[in-house]
Amino acid sequence: MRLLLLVAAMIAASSPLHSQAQFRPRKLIQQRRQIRQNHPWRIAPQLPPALKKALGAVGTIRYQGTRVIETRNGLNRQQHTEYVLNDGMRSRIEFPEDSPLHGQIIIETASERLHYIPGRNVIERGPPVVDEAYARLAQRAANGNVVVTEVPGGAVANVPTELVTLTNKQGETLQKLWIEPGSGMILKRELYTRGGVLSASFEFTQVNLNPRIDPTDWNLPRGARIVTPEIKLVELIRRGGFADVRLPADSPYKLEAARVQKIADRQVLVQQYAGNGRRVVLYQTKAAVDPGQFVNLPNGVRTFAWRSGASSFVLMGDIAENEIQELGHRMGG
Amino acid sequence: MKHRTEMDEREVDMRLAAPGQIQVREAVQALPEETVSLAWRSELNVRLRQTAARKRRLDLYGWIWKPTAGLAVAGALAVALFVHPGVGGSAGNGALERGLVNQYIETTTAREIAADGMTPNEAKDSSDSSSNPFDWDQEDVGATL
Repeated sequence: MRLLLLVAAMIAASSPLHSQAQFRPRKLIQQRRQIRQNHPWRIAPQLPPALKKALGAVGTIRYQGTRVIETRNGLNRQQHTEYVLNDGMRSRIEFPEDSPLHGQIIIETASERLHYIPGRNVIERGPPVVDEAYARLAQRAANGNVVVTEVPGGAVANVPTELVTLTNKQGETLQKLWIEPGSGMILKRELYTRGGVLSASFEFTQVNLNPRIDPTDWNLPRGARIVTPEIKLVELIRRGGFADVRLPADSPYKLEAARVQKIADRQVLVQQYAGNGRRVVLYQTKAAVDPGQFVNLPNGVRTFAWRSGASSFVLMGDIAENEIQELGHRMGG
Repeated sequence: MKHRTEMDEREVDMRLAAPGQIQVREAVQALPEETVSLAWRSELNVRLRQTAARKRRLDLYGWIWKPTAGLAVAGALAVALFVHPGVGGSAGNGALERGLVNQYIETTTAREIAADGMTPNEAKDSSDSSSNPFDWDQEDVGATL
């Protein structure tokens, strides 16, 4: 009898844990499905299976790897290496010891991007950016003027891949993706200019699709000062004597970065905004700008330019003509 | 001879004592006595001194205003030759406009390829300043993690 009571007590005691253990994966699956549904892109049904898998895996995939990123600035190509840890919508990025970026850490979650810069003991906090890359890919692949093909792609980082190629109607390659078909992980990606020149790429040189992730992997050093793009913008405006003109707060585009950049020997205040997989940039300079020069722009880029006081403003983005005009008018254009 | 001389003197005295002569003498004596004035000369001296002082001042500042005027003329010429009215300081050859479009394309491409990784602009911004580009203070940044 005592034994029976003991067993009953043990079952009663363990039942909440048991039910919780059963409930957790379901809740996790629901959360991940919700995350997938919240993505600002639609997976076109006609896409090849590997690309569909890749677009569907965003927000759920787990991996750890070493990634080499190459970008092009004019004719100059530059590379850097990153160590990446990814768990669904969270990622942590660090840099090798021999990199000038060593010590910096980037943590991105579904709601924010934190960039720790040890030299200044600062954390730059902005909106998350990862969705933009996949939103653009989904938009481009769903474009009726783009042909998407899939063939075996060989091994990347010792992992077999499928090669998905996007070409335009003229047969020019727009981009290539090497995708691990089981997980949907994009192991290598290349983007090309309109003339067929490689403009940017990344490649994983090592990958682990089943990493052990510790909760402390999402920690950053304590005591660092938080700097937002808005704080940076206010300071740049104050120090550079620029006009305080920015995108309306209720627009769908959030300020991602602000910097003063020398463009064609002119000091230009650059405000980068992103949202809905689109990118909008507001330029401000003391020099005059000729709107008539903005013709035959690539990739559906549109502009709206105006002059106010001693400053010229150019709003540039891959958004609809009426939307860019409305935004420009609201800022005084 | 001596007699003739005495005769002449007597005749002269007689003629001077004539009523007509006396009348003329009285009229001359009645005229007001005038003294010669040099005031005009004094005024002239004052004016000459003022003019000389002004000239000395102009000569003294000449080395400032002459080069300044030269620079002003040269500047005006340069503005007229190289700055086109209505362009407001723009190079006017489309370089700035092309630069803005290239900046947009390059940053958009970099973000698309880097995804959650680091873009060249972020790398530059973060490594530009082993020292801080801004002297943030606690009030500026508001919070700490």
